[in-house]
Amino acid sequence: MNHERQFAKEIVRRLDETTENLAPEVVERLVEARRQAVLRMAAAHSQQPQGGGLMALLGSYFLQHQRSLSLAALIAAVLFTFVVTQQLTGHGHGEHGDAFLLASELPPEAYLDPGFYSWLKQQ
Amino acid sequence: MASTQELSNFLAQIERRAFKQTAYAVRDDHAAMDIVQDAMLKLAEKYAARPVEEYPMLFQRILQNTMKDYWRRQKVRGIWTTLLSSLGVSQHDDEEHDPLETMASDHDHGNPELQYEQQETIAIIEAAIKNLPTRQREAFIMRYWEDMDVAETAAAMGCSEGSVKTHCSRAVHALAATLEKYGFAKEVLDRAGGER
Amino acid sequence: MVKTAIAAGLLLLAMTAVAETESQEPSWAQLNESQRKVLAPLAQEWDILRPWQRERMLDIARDYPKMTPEQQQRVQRRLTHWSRMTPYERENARKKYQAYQNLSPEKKAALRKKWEEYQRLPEAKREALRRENPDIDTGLEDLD
Repeated sequence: MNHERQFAKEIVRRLDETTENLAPEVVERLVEARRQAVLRMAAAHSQQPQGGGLMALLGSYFLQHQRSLSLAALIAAVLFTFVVTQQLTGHGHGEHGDAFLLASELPPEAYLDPGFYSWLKQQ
Repeated sequence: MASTQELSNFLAQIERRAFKQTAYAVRDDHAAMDIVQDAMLKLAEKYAARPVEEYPMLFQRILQNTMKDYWRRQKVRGIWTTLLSSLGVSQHDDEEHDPLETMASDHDHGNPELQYEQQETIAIIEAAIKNLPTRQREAFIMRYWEDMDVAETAAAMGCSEGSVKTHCSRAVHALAATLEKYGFAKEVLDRAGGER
Repeated sequence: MVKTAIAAGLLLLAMTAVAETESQEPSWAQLNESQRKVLAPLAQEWDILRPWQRERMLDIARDYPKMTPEQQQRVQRRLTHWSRMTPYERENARKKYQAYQNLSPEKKAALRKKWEEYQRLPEAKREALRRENPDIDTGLEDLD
């Protein structure tokens, strides 16, 4: 195990060298990707402040602005919350999840039965 | 909950390795870049509430899932070629990457007996890493390059700690065998205390 | 009146959002009622599922309400078998399902018809066919 580890460390030392010689455009894109991720997190945090979370945020917002909020603004808020919820929970990416696989007319076994493949080939 | 500063530091620390790791797996720098970027955004968005200590594990898990999605898109056609052709559908063949290609060309312009230039050494190591079976490569990279412990690696890979150890050990032996073939593993191994 | 209803709706949405982001690897007891209802076939084995698998199963519970009753029945029927497959088999099935999804409606129907015909073959015949083709390409290397 110890030898394995030392050997691995030798390999990894060489791999580290490769990260110092990345093409400039790769480095730039990584920096940009990181910047976007940070923005994304800032947005995520503002959706879910500590404590009561989204609920508290909406609750207090609602109480403060109860009178002045028009129905239209409320509907917009509902839609916005809905979109955020969808994003946060990964909803709405079509029929791609395991649920739809299980619900499909073709059962999962059909994909895994080698006999079915041979039989299709024979046809 | 991780702060944006912590996220930024974490990503700055791992982004280059993440890119290389992904490029080893998908063998396409552009795709690798897209995958890494997707994984970064997913981490920031979905795990903003998690503490930064969990980020190495979470990020690896996301990275692997993103890569899997990529494989799924890439390979699905190939798998179903037989099936679909049996239904009278014509399909273009997927051109298969030959993992040995890179290695063979690296090998051609060098005598294994010669001291390899640093660049050549790295090229061969990288080719050997690319040649590892996916799970072995993942385990090896997480344990030794990302310095994650066995439990973290197991959590990221969704497998038992036992299989992490097996994958790592097989990876090391496969790498050693490949490098030995190219005549310089001994040098690396000697430096590491000489196991073989 | 309308405002109260909308406020209630907002609160509900907010609560589900918070609940879903917080619960990463919930035990059976921590599941909510609708999740337990969908995942009932797994009640006995839920707590031994790997965290990753639990997440996937919760995704199933999440998508479940979007389905027709007929689809829901299929999910119920297949859930246990699905959870007991190896990760390798599941990954394999997912990939092929996706390819299936990309087929035209006619090809989908043709494939389903073939599957029904195959199902009607005597078991001995199917077994012989399986032996003929023991190793179909899976595309993924040694998944656990």
